[in-house]
Amino acid sequence: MKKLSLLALLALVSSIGFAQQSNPALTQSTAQRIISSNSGTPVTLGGYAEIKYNQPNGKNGTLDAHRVIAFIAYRFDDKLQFVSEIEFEHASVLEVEQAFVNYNLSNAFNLRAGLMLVPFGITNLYHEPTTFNGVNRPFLNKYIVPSTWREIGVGFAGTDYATSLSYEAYLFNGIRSLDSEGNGLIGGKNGIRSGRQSAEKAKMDSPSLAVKVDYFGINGLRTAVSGFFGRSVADDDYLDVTGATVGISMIGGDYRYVNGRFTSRGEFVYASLSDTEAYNQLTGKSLGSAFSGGYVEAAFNLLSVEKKQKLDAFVRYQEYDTHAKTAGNLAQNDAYDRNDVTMGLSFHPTPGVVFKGDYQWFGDRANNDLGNQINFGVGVWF
Amino acid sequence: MSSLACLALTPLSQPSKKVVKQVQATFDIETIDFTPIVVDHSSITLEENTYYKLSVQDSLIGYAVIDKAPSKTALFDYLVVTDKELSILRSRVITYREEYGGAIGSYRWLKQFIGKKHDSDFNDIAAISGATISVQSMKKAIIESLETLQLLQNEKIIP
Repeated sequence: MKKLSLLALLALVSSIGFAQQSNPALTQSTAQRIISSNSGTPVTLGGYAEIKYNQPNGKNGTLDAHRVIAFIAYRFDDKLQFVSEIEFEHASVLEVEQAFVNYNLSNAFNLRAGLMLVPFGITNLYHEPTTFNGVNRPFLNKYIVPSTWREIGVGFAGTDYATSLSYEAYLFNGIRSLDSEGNGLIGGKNGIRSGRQSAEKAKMDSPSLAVKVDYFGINGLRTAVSGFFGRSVADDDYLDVTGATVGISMIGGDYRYVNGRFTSRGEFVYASLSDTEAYNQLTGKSLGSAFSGGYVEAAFNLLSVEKKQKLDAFVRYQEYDTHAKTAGNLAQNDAYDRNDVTMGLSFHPTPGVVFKGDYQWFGDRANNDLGNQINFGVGVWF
Repeated sequence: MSSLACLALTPLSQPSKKVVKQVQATFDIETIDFTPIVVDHSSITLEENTYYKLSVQDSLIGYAVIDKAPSKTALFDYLVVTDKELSILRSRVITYREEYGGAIGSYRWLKQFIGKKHDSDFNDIAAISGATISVQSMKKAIIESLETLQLLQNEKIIP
């Protein structure tokens, strides 16, 4: 019996040896995988960068290190994590894009507090250059959703795997409508963009609520609804002045779809603003009482899905109108009802690096000649 | 025979409540014993308490793998439960630790792995927008778990 078991042991040892030779992949243990990435340490370093060349027809081109960002996170333990993003814009302006603490109470409840991205639509949250097609972010996310939109706040985020739902719900300081001299910050062409406070001694009278709910239960499809509700703030000196603040209710829907080499995405936004007539009277601005916009994009990977490289050919049509409605005597300005078609290529030599090239045709309902533009860019995310 | 038994013999160590609950729900049985699989040999290394034999009153019903895999910047914990023939009965993400890619925990998405074995075709697993890295990582982790179980079975370390 003893002899037999010894033989068995020998046979086992030698066969394990063979098995290992025939299947070297198996010898890469989890531990090795952990060590070979930085993901086993409590500190995470990362970043992204996008460098662009925009060449409008008949004008000078612009070459810009638009965004270079360092991502630093620290995991205190399984429950507590600090996340930050420090950003250089246009190679000089230093900004803090995110700085918040995540307290994981359970998968469904993470308490978050600090400087966070406003959870609205796709691009504001997923804005790393390798995650979207086109050199420039869709302009819907400039004029209507003021990306990169971040404010200081507190709230909850969570995921429920059984229902395939995730959510984020925060109270933030809201949009600022007047500066300290009483000048209007928000207006007709750029909507609420200049009312972002971005954690620079932001003012708050009452908090704004931002909520996003994602559903990812259908394979290949991810859909979400977003909402932002609040009242803008003005300096203490102007708080009782009629027209100093406006109400903002913004709702949106978005989807992302992937099936093999085909991908598609879209974002749709409608914003309703109250008391804009009084605001415009006070400031001389032409703020619309409703904004609307949306885009649809389709892309096809020209390379085989088995390849690490990806070459997406894409086309996107979008509209964005900051004068979808106006209040009082303010006439709708058709020049604020804009649209563009963007066509181009995104070449990913490896996940995390992208070379982009595209062509954009701009238009508006006033039939102004807005010209065309060719763009090239390089982006990384690690 | 006794030496083989020795190789697979184990100190008692139980996985987390969350894992136990998922495994119980898989078989719809409450009294499942978890026995860690220990391989005392240098050419196969298993992390401690990652591979388990599952049994009910000493009769084997399947296996569970509880391990970590990388998402973009962190590690997530996953669970794979197989039957005795090493085909997947259930897979779950137990803890996910970063912003991006959490959608791989969706029960609906993970359903696609049910019935897969180490030599199955995994190319039909659907992609998830915004979770490319985690999807690849989960696929790889599940395949490696199945291959390791298969190797353990080939070597008769597990029945």
